[in-house]
Amino acid sequence: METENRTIFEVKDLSIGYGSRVVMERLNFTVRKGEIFVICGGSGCGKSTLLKHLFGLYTPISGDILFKGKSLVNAGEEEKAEMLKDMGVMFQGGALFGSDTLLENVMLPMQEYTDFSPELMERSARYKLALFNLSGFEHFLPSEISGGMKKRAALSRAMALDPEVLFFDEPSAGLDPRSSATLDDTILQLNASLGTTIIIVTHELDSIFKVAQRVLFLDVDKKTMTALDSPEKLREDKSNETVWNFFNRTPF
Amino acid sequence: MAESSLQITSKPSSEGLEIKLEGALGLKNAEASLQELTSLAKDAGAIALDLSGITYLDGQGIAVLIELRARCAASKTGFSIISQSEVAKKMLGLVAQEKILSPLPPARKKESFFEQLGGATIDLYEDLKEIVRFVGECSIMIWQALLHPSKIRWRSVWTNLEKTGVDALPIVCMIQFMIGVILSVLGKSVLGMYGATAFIPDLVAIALAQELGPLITAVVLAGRSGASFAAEIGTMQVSEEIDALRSMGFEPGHFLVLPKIIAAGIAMPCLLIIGNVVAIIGSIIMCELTTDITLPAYLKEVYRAVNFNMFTEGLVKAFFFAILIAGVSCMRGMQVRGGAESVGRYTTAAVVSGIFITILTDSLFTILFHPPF
Repeated sequence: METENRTIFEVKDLSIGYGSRVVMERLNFTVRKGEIFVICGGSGCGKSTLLKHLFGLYTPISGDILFKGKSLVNAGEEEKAEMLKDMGVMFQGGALFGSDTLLENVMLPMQEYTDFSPELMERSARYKLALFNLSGFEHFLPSEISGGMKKRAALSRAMALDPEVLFFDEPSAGLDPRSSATLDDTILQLNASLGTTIIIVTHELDSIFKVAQRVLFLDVDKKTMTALDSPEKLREDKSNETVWNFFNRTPF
Repeated sequence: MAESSLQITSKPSSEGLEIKLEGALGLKNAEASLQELTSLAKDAGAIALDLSGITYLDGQGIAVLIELRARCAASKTGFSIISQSEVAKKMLGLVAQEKILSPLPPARKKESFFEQLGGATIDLYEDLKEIVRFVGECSIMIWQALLHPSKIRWRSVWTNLEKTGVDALPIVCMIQFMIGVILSVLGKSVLGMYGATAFIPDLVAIALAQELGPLITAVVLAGRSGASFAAEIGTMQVSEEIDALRSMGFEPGHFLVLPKIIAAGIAMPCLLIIGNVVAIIGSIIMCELTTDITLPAYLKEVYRAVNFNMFTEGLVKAFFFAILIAGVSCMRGMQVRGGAESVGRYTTAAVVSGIFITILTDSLFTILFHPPF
């Protein structure tokens, strides 16, 4: 019972891919509640694809994903929608709705899923934007702000319902070093203050060493996961060559 | 979240009301708690919140506290937090509340009727200027292409020809067939009143060759290819592909627009001829079924009615319609700025302008070919 409470995601013998083309197979791992879990690997190994399976966007070729003990793969429409309320996603390019202002973007999930009065909704959305230093930009359209701000706004929207799990797809891609460091701090802060489980896809080593508690390494050649441990251990462990090369930035 | 419920207890204090919150304040009970706290604060001169019993507080909970503080400020009720638990302290420390406390400045100022009217007029004027400029640019481009045909990207012309021509054939044929049928039925009922059913072939053939054929094919072209040109170029604009072309020293007009214009210019007359033949077939079938006009009689009548000039007039019109539709659609695509919404807006604009410009040119041609004075 104890372990069940602490596990938020359980991936069982998962095979993922597009159509009949398998990208990754034999994936078995669990994500613990409240941890910062990083999925990494070389370009094109299927990191983002795996992430999209975890929040139910894609259906796996085989295997199962359990979210809080319930199958996400076999869940019905309503059951899945209920599960998705507990998850927030920040997409690689932000994926903000271009015709809505930042405030409206953040308010959208609240309008759909809560009984909040308009005042509370607005206040809450403004709070979420302020969390990421976007106060004063409430009425801006996504096309009117910079790339880094878009990322932060996307994060605000992902946080709209205070989800239990937050997914980040390449959060630091396209950000300057300071913004990316700030984002790392934000991730740590969210995790510490709200206990939010955070699953990140990235290959930024600096960021991995700063935030990750455990790292899942996907090997593009072997088409499966080859390591799951803390980043420091992976950097020291010479028994697994690909992983060691990755964490020590050895050139090809 | 594993939220337990929130307990709200209040006791009068020297300044007003001391409210103690115990348990979890979050997404699930935010609105209800806010209502309860607001009603408690309504009659108190001042409220003091004791948050020492808070075990869970998330962003929505913070929003409740800030909204409550704002409501208190509006009704001149005092607001203070006298004690907070570790959890509450951590959460409240994340953001300076002042940023969110002040009322949000109103969104954009709504324009008055006259401002809107003025704005629309200026937009229309700018738009017309843009169309004229673009037509000029395209003419130069076509002229240069004619002088140096080897520089045209023929492969792109070829693919576009397939998309605008061959792929449009089924829908054009279907529509033209039905137009043929409709015209015959209409002809029978109107001409029949004067006992002139025998002239149905004349009506159908002349109308199609000279007017209806080019017009209907143009509408299909504007709706199908015009929209697709605008959306394609617009999406390229959004994803910086157009900028990439420019950075490599390619002229997007020559690279993207010209092949589309040439393809449309070739495809349209072909579509017209095939479409018109199909329309006549539709009409023949209808006449066979409902009148006593025989096939040879029908064909003979068509041959007699349509002269070479009418036929050329249709083709010339079709050619110009196609070039203008393709050009204007590409221009709309180039005008896209921003994101997905803009692509949608300009795709619509492409179809509307395409059809509008077709009708406009058609009336000019009609005056040109049949001078009324």
